[in-house]
Amino acid sequence: MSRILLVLSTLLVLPALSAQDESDYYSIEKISIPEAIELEIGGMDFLPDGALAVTTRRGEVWIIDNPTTDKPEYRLFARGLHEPLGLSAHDGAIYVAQRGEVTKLTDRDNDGTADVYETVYDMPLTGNYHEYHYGPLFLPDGSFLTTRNVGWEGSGVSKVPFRGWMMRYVPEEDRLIPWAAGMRSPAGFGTNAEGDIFVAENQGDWIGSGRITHLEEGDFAGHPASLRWADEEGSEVDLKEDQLNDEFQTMYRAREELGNVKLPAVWFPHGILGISTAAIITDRTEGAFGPFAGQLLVSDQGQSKIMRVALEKVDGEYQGVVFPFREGFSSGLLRLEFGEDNALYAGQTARGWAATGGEEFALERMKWTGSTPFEMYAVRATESGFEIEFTEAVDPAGVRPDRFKLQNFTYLYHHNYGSPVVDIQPNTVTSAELLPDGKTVRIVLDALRPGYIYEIKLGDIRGANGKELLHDFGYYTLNAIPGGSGTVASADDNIAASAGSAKRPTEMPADWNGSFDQEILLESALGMKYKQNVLNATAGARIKFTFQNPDDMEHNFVLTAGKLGDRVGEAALELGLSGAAKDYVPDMDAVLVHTELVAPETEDTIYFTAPTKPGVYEYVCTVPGHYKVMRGVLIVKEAASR
Amino acid sequence: MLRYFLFLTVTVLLSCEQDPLTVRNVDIDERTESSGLTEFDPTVETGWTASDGIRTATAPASLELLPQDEALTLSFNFRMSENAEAKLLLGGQHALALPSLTLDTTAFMRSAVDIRPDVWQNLEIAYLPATATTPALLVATYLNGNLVYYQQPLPDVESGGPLTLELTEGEMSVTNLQQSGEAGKASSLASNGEVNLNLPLIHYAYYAVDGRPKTFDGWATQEPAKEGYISRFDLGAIREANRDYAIRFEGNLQIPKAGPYTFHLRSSTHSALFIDGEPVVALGPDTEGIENDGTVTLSEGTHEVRLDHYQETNWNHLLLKYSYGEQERKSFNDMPEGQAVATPRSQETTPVETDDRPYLLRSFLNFPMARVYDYTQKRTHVVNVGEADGPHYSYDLQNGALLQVWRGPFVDVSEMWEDRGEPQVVRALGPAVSFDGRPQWATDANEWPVEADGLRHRRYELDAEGRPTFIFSHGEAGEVSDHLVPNAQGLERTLTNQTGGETLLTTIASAASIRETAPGVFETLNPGLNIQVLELASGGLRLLKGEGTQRLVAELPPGEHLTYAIDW
Repeated sequence: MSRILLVLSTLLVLPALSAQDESDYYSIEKISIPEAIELEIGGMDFLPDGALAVTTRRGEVWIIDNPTTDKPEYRLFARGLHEPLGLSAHDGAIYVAQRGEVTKLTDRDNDGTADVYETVYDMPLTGNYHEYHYGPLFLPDGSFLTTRNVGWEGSGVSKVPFRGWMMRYVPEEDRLIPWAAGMRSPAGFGTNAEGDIFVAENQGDWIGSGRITHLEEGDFAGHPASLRWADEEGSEVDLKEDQLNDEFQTMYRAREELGNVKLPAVWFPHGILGISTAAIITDRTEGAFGPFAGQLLVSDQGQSKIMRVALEKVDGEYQGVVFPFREGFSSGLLRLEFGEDNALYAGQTARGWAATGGEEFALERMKWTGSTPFEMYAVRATESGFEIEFTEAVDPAGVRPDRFKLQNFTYLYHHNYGSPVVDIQPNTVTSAELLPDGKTVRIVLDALRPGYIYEIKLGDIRGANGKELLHDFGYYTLNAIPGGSGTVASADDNIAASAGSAKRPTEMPADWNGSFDQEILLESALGMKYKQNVLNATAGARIKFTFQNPDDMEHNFVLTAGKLGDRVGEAALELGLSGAAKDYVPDMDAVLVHTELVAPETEDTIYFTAPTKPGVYEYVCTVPGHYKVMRGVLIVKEAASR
Repeated sequence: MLRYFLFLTVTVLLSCEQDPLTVRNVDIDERTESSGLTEFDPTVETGWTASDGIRTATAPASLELLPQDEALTLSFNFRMSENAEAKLLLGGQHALALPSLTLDTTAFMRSAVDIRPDVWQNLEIAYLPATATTPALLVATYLNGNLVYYQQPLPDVESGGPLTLELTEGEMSVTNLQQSGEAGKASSLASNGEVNLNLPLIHYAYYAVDGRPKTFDGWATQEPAKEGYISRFDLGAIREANRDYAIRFEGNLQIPKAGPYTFHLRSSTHSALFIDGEPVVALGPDTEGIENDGTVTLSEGTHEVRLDHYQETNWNHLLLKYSYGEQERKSFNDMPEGQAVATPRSQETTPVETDDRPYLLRSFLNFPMARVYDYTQKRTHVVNVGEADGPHYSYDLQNGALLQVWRGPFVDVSEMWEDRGEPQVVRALGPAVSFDGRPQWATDANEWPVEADGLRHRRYELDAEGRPTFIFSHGEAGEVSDHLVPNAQGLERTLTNQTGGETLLTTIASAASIRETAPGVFETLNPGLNIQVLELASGGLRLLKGEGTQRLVAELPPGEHLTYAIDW
């Protein structure tokens, strides 16, 4: 007992001694939720009187009075809506996107509850659960936008109009415009400081990784299923579904060939900066929320955290950089709104879509503490490299080329689910120079490739006041090189990834002579779970092991050398960029065997010998964000004596 | 979706001044697809008088429906007076009590039973008599389409007797006696000539297989681990392991039309189809791939079907289709992919509790109510309205149709609010009376629409009690509204034509038959309702009469409203 205490106290003391923490700059506090309310937040917005309106996945709309205080008061405004995933307050009414329609809720007799449920417009549905509906987002001209998921039938499908589209509705004309196509699971969207529209996308088929994309009318954002409706009246999308195929290999090349393929403004590397991007919000607090006014904050549902994006325009199109910002929320972070207290309110839900934090739902508020972290503030592309601007003056002593580590890579554009990181090339930083403003460093690289994502990792760079970096990396999506020149490295013709591991024996060992002692089937269940949480084996048994994945996302099976699920899961997170290419399997002794990253509705079979030592061996899915909930134990028993 | 055939034969006579409650008959050429059951007359009747196809008796009375104890599907409508009691004697001895539907053996009732006096009910029973080794089986029992019993054994049969209905108290009426000699849905020949093959019931024997043999041939020598009946080749519902098991399925197939039939098999492992003992198509150690087909010429009449399945791999996958002539390939009792089939409601529910305000809950709904293992469909824009212990109702916001009504607890949302809730359907927690679900409004009496045309849901407004009025726009003409109020008797519904100048027709009820019992008062059969028209100042009532289907509608001039009450 005393030993455990000692270990614990060491852990508690260490961070304080050694390093700063995100919470030194941004604090997260819980907003209390009455016991009886399942506040699975699907959408939220502040009302003109400062109250917070929240809609839940069970179809309720709650008005929370005094949301900025520690005495919030909840009252039910409406209920019975069909899994609404967006809410906007506009002109005295509350608008929600429920599965089958956009609904306007009005309290005509001012008794505090809605008494008119108006169908602004409805839409056909097939009844597939994945046909989620988000929004609306009102634009300054009074029109509004919504987005519609594709259905899921082993791949994203659009069987009724306009699944996979962003729609714009003009109320005064009662006109619904199929505005932009190519979406798969566009769970969040918002505008930047200039009022331009950005949509967040989740990894899946045709979507190599999470990302945000600037959308204009007629744009195609990448998922082909929606193109089935491109010829419908009102659509300005000029592309056919059969024009898309796996042979382009990357979106960048598809764009070169086809023209109308909108490149993501910023890619979010899967597992490192989120696994399911959601809300997009601009910091419009003019400094009251800290030093990042005007930048975008993007939430992640699966990893319960927020990333920060700084954009610029090159050749008239947006591109930019994403940084880590704040993690540690309690549940799946689906919605973000700024309150009148300039705090950021975070609406969260994890039911059926497991998230770090471990709670089924939560409402939290994040405040700036008033201290400015030493961070990369923004990254801008130049003809020959990047300018990295920091939040504060930089100590010139640290500005040396070897303190800047860069490499670039891209993702495959194909019908398969997700993509590993492919075509990684390291960069050499040939010079690093502190600009006269004292807080911007210009680095020059040996070569630049348009269409690649640049990982920027910093070594010991400090502020002039000696402050350390709070976060030391970011990812810049280089769609275009300013001036259009630069050294364009040639793209490999075939950039497909290869993977392989000694710990994934897919052939039966020859010395088994074609037979095995035991066959084990493990299956995933929807919602980041294994169907079998306990497996049994006899010590030393020769096992044919199959992992089947009927879920709609990728999973793997990693058997650990004991109760090491957490350690292996954490190590997988540390893999960073190379994670997907390694099937998220860290190279460590704690890993005994593993399957590949099994795509939805496929399976992988491996052959291995059960540990000879009886005991409990944890297995986990090491896809980032999964290991905390997706795990089980292999119980190895003594072989019966013969 | 609904299999009706719409043809115009007779047009409506233009109205002249008359009492709006006068019913004018309009013949329409619409007919329901056959249920596969045939009408029959009882073999012995004691104490019954017949009029207009309805048999009525005061206790004591008895009706011998079928002389022998044999496999059957039986469907009939009945109506009982207050305090009436009767029993249906299955195999001459197992008493299914009416109106409680209790059995004289311990049984699991899957739906509450709430039978009101003086309202027509529909009872459907699929039954298998005992054999030398197995007890009699109540394969399924449905009250107004609600599953009450499923796969319920009836033990201790000594020798089977006739199927008899005995009225022991009060007054009872019976009509629409239909049956087939199969305990399930048999093959049929559709009115357009299409052949629909179906094994009414499949016996299965399940074997655990040891030692990984190349083929399994222990069908006769090995003792089955279990045996039972099922309606589809549903491996998932039977298997107790991922592999190393075998199932022998057997059933009798009615071939309604002689000719060559091709059977398409898709299996991950060893599967073989035999008809009358002859191999038709197989996959196994001697065949490559996972698909195969075989053609066999079959005569009209009964054929023995056997499907042997030995699961030697981990992938449990079995599909069986048939094709006949130019007909599209169809499911042959397999678990089809991409098409939902009905399953019994789980015993674990997540109920939505009602409170002092009506609860309006949007959802998907499997509709129409389907028999177990029959196809079902999803209505996607449904609102379920519940208050207290009911009556509750489900309503289609896309076409204004009242879909179903029920009393008792409100709805189960376990398929919406647990995990991801993929089905997104609610299930009524009481026995529901289900309607035809076709559009509420029309402009032409002769051709009632299948899809709502020009109707668009605009809003629902809640009154002081929180009850909704549903408001739709009707083309360019203006709005129509619909207000429903539950009361002690049932539901009171007011439909208003607020359009500026268009006379509209609105449905009061659609049923197999509708009978006027007094001016403005009607009783219906399938579904069973008592209807009273309470307010209709002008316009008029029309009874649209097709074959096996009737629709009572009101003609509503602009500005006019109709109020009627239904009880069930």
